[in-house]
Amino acid sequence: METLSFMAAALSPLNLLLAVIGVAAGIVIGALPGLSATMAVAVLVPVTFGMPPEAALIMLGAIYTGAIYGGSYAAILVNTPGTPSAIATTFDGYPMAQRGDGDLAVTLSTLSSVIGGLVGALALLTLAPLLAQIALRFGPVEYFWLAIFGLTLISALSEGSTLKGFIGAGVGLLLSTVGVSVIGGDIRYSFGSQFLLGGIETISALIGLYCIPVLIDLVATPSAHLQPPEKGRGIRLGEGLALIWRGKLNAARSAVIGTLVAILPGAGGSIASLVSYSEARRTSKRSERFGHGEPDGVIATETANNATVGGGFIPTFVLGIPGTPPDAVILGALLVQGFRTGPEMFTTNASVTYTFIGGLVIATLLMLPMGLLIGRYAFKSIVSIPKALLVPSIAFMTVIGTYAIRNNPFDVVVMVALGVIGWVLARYGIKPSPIVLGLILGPIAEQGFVQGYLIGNASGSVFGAFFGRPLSLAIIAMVLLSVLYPVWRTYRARRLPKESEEARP
Amino acid sequence: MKPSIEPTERVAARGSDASLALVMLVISLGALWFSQDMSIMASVFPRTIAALVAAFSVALLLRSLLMRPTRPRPEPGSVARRLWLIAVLLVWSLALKWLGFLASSLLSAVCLVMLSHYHAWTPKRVAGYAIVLLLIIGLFYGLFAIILNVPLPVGLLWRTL
Amino acid sequence: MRQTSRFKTLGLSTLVAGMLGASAFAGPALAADAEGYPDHNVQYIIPFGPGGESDISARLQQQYFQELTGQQLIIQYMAGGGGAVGWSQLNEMASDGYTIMGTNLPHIILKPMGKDPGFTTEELKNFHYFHYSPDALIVTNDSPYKTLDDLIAAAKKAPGSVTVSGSGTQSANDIANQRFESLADVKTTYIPFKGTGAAVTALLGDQVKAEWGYTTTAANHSDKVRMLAVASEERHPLFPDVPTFKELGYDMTGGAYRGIAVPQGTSEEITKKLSDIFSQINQNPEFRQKMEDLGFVLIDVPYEEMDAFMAKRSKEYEQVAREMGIIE
Repeated sequence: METLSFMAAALSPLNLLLAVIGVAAGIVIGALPGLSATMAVAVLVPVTFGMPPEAALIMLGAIYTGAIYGGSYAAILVNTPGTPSAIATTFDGYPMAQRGDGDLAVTLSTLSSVIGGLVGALALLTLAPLLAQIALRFGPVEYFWLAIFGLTLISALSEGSTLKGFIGAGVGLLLSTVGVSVIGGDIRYSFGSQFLLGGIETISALIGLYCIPVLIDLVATPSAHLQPPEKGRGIRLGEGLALIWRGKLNAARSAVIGTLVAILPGAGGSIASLVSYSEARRTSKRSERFGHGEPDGVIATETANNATVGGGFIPTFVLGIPGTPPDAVILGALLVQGFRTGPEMFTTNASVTYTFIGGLVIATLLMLPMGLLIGRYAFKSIVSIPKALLVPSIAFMTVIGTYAIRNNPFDVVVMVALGVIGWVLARYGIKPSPIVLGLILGPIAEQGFVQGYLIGNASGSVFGAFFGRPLSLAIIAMVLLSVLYPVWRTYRARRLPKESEEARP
Repeated sequence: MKPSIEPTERVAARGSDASLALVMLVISLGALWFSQDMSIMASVFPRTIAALVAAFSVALLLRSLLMRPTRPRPEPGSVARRLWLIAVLLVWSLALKWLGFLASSLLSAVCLVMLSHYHAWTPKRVAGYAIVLLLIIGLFYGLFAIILNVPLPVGLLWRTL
Repeated sequence: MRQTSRFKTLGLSTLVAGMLGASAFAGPALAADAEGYPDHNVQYIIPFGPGGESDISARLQQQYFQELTGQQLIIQYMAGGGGAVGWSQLNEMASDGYTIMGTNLPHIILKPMGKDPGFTTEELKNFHYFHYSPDALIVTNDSPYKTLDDLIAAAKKAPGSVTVSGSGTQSANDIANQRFESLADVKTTYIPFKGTGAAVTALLGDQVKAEWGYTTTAANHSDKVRMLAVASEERHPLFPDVPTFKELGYDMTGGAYRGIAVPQGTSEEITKKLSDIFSQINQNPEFRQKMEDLGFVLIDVPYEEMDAFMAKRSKEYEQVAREMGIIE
């Protein structure tokens, strides 16, 4: 009961107002590519010094939630993930917008984000200490296998030739090694340039690979960027609700995956949404429609990435280890406020923690009306703005956004160069998604492998380290399942040749 | 920009696949070559990946020679405008540090408007676009430089003046 | 890379109108003089990501900087290359005293010893070093190693079987481990992780047997870990029960030092003034208390003593680097 009264404290007028401001600011910041949730939170930290700790945390949490959700706008409307968590939203969100269903996609992403956010907050409220223990069981070897599991998505993400998909992922993995290496301390593939020391920034690569090709093809023809929607059909809330109801299993599974991946420090929202996307695709009856504007794809990724918000706070609060980069900033703010993370967050400081969770729930619920309103406006303006203004606006956004990630002008050059390379490669059949997958999973796979090898070597059995732990065996089983299941499905489809002939994408 | 679920026209891709495979082969061999001076711990991963990419490239090369691969017809449109866009973006990104954020962005924005405009120019349109464009840039500049405190580049060129 | 917040007072309309010109006049208009310094906000660039020790220290200084000067300290992150991305660009930034950047030892001494990271140790104009976090060998509460001797005995019995996590290769942690190995004449397996957070996670999850961290790590996770020994001159006030390496007979002191630098062209007066401001922050009792609770050890190296301080550290690390084979 005490818990409830603490949570109700989040309903005070000041806290509510802060939540509204936070969500609105978060949505705008998240929607702009390059401005990530991390940055939004970091900018706000000094503002919160003067506030009571509960209010400060509520505002930071609201901004964070809003930003993760806001990332879906840019993904749906201009094919650019506003935050890394929204990568997989581009797969189906943008095709939906292209055919004139952008309004429906935004509504779906709003509903899914609310569901995901609530599931994540619920897990934080009830299961935090238990889940934190699971997170600790994840060693280097498990991260390595998790990365391999992520790489099995290649075949799902490469339209057309899987072979080219593998080459693309290889390019991404190689790109991820540029710069000073964590293990060994070597400077790799920098070719003497000090600018490449810091490696290729993932978000600038994302912006380049996804957004620049859109721009390049946008100027080539006078035709409209997106199909305009039919007049007077509003926000299509009814349709959205029906689709969510149809995909309720998918939404529930994605929310759970999102929460679980988020408790692993070092994985993060991008991996959570990619994994739930592939699971949604693998289990769906309409799996061949994924990547061509399937609503279930948007539902899966958006529930998963908002579930990571609550999920990521679990290791942050219980262990003092940030689950995601924005959590790292919030953890810093907590320390400055004089709070010590750990079990006392749920005992001595319970009032602050539960008020914060209450605030998170309220912020998530606020996304529904605010998101639908802002989303509708965003879609309308993107559709109606003339091309000659849309192109410079998007270009401007990518340039300033890329620069702002780490205040480095050279990142903009890398972004444009990767964008052009990505456009050329896409014309020859290597799509950006496998490259991005490699770029994100590369460091996890490499560090997990070398660390696992070193630990195995020290304990006397490298084989035992990689294949002898129950958790890694479980992930290996998942890898095998996701590799063999499509093979089995094709085999069965050949045995029973029915109408599946024309379903080939 | 049609929904791509409809069957798209396909063109022969033997030449393009073969050249793609060759380029990737060169890149992977380059990655192997440049990994020579790395420590063992740091080179395991890039070498493995480079070897795999090389193998896949050879497979792609063989497939392009033995089979008759096809690819979807690339999206139509003006090649010149595409190349101009790429040029503008590249110059813009390189000029940021020297010209500063505002000057380089204004110049590039004007180029991009002209590139992506397909209708006739009337004085009214020019004025309208100019105002909207200035507003957009001003809005973003205000958001980033003033609200978010991002230290945007001012331009090394202006400092020496 | 110039301060932009001075435009805060201008209306948006003037802003749009004067935009092209703005970039041009911003340069000379901000010519700094030490008298009124600082008369607007100061950019404080952290060359790492958020949430680390450098970030948290800066966040604490932020508050007192404002109390002292009436101006804000604006924290920016410029992560990459273990700090090299920021440090290699510091001297290109505006040298009016309104851009300052965090620097760390041993990073700024060790990095230039290997391949060229785009800066040299001498090029960085450090003006104040405010604290350090002593190296510490950390184990979990239920570890079988009760004392440092237990760990050494285990490592002697089966060389290489004791796994120790730490942040990165050729980092403060790696150096601490190498020095410990040669002083105690043992062989361990050092496992580099991406950052202190990942290294301590590996310890908490029993993936490794011990961790090289700092007193700050132990303070942060005080309910789950304990330290076997600390590499400081005296015992840390927060952990009066933990012996120093020196007490145990291993002549080992060191850790990660944190300070701040300005671009090279910054005038002597302003550099001096900045040094004074941060010295004053360091004297604030409330600030000291907060820092010590987090596990830091406060030091006070002002601008005048910087050269001697750096020379002494350089010598120390050079010797270690030679032992490690980074330089011949």
